[in-house]
Amino acid sequence: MSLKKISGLDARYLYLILLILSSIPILMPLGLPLAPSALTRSAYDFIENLPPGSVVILDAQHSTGYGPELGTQFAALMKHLLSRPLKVVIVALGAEGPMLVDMTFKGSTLSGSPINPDAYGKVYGEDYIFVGYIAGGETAIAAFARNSWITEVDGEQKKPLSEFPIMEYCKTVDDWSLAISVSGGNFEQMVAQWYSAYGTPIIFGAPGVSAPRLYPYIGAGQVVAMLVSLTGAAEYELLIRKPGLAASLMDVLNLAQLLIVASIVIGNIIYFATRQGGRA
Amino acid sequence: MVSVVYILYGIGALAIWSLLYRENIFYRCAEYFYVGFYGAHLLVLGWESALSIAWTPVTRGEYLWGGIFILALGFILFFYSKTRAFYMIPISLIVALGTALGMRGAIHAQLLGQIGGSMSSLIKATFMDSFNTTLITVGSFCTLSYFIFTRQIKGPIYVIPRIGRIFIMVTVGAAYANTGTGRLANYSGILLNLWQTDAVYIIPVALAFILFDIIWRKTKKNI
Repeated sequence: MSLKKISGLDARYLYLILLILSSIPILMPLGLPLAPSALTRSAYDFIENLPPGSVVILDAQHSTGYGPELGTQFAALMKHLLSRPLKVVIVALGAEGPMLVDMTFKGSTLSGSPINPDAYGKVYGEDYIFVGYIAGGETAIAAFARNSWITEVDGEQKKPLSEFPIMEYCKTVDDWSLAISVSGGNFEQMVAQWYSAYGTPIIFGAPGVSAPRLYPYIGAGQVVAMLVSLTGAAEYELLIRKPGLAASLMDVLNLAQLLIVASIVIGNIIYFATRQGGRA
Repeated sequence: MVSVVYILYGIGALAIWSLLYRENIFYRCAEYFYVGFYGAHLLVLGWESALSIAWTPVTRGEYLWGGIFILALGFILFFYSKTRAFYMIPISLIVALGTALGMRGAIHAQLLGQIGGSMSSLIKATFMDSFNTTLITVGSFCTLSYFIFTRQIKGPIYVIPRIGRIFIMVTVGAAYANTGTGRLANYSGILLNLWQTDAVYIIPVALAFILFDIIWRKTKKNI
């Protein structure tokens, strides 16, 4: 087959190769090595070093569209927070948050196996709570910081927040020791409303597409750390010693990326070779 | 026992992926279903949120007039086509309040903080940290110089905006590659579920449909 024919090949053949290649590690796991990055480790270390009883906000602002990329991050962070003696206040600042929080506890195709807080010795309303969904984007981000009781009732049992002892520790942003947001956007708004306004430490769980624009915030010390994409989730699962869905997807991701890299290299070689041929 | 949920999952996922083959009725149906479900979900959550944040405090007598005023403004939004003049009142308030709220932290978050972050000492604890900080400082300086349009940069310093352009290209490349990683992460998650759940039964059906379509189209072409 000539180089020109290869360059004009139907893209659907590439999809087919991708499908076959990425199915291999699912049927026969390869177990490619994975080492936690400095960013993931600093997120882990920060949570690990929080004093007992600290209030941590865990915001589910992601959506199903991000699939396991963010779903696994949320699950890994949740497992770590529940394993520590902390007060975890879960909030949904994204519309799909309530559904995703529920899916994380019950187990799903986006987050992996179920999370049972009882197994960690945690009691709903005492050690952790879900305060529900707050609509409004940046307005909601700012309002929740000023008044963490804004939803009035919790998101699971629909009871007044005053009935839950954990909420006595969490009234405003001044009570927060850390805010974690797994989100596909609104990062700048959270930095502005939580860090710039009150100095609250923030950890982000971010999709790959948003990561490059968040690095400056980490460099400037405005954000403590972040988990990047599925890789960040897999690294975090390794750090908490609970390999889950993200870790099992890494082989698929690695092989798929290898194919993309190979396609780019081959495409460029063909481009330059055919260009030179044309000039000659 | 075959799980109906996973069968539906398989049908939905493969119907969306079928666009990679070509535009078809299965893709259209799955797309409309998704948009419909999402819209309905958003509506329910928005309604619940409005009830708990605005309506409940008003019924208790808290922020009575303020709450009624805000609810009335929100209500006006439903009458776009009939009362355009009224419609502009809540919109202008939303824009004004949103901008004011955004301005509050944005100056520190996106300007002062970033400038401070890029002007930190180049000497750090480890060599890599110093290297990274130097790279950020040089990159920021060169990239900013690329956007100076007041006067054309000529002479030997012309190299500075050119380096800035390289930094921009690298950043855009990194963002693009990260986007690819994200999409592949979603893809791998769906693929894993397709293989490891009852959704696997849908794969041969989907392949059969595609094969049938290929043969049918080729036969039609030959006729």
